[in-house]
Amino acid sequence: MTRALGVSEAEWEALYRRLEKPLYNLAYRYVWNSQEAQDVLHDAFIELWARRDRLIASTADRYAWVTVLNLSRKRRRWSRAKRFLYGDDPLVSLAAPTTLEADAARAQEHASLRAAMEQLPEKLRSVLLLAEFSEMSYESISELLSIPLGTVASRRNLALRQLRSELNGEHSA
Amino acid sequence: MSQHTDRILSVLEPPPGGLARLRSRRDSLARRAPPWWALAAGAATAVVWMAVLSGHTEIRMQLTGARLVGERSQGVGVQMLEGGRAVPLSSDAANVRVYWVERADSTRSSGQ
Repeated sequence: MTRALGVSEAEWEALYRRLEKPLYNLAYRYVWNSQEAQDVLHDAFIELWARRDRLIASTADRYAWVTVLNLSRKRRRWSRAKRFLYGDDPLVSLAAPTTLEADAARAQEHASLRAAMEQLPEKLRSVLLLAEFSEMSYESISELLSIPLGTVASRRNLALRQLRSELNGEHSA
Repeated sequence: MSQHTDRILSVLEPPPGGLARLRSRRDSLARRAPPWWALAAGAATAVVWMAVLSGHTEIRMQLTGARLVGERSQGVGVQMLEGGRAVPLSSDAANVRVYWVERADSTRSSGQ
């Protein structure tokens, strides 16, 4: 039987299993550290757990995305200070390289993409990451971010154009 | 995830064992947090205790003074009550008695 209000432990765990990878990918592109990205994800799900009696199962997905997005933004500000002091952790989630050259190439690609992402304004970054990883429709994204539907598509396209320009070594106008 | 673009952002795998760590963290938080009723009881006790400590002397002094005045108005001689004392003061009116009511251990001089 489906309850109108409240999320059970089984539903909470199922939600985590289903959303772990996409939420992690969003969080990672804010904090650029695998452990911190997982911490953000877990912080969000601890919040969900604390509010489970007030959640509706059908909207728990959206609540998870909003929470991870907000926590990622906050953590990013803190992570930037930590990176300045302690440097970066290497990306650990890629498959093991077969050669040192492949490892170096992948690291360079990662660094370039990260630098390009860092140039994106927040309003473009959030739309791009939700569009790329959440499987939400543009309508859902527009509701979640409280922006017009057409703005979702235009910001996503603009974000992709800027990323390509940065990765190709051009500065956006 | 989105499949309608040539992907710039590759899909990363999260560190393994995430759900187990999440469960462990949730359970450890639950063990450390006191129940809400214990917090409420502690707060209520603190409030009551502070009220008692701050208001005790004032309440007794007010009661003492009121009793003294009440009894005197009924023609009853003033008596020291509950550790307080009434110090008679001068009055310009013959039918009015003025008393300074204070604690028995007060060092303040009367009539001031």
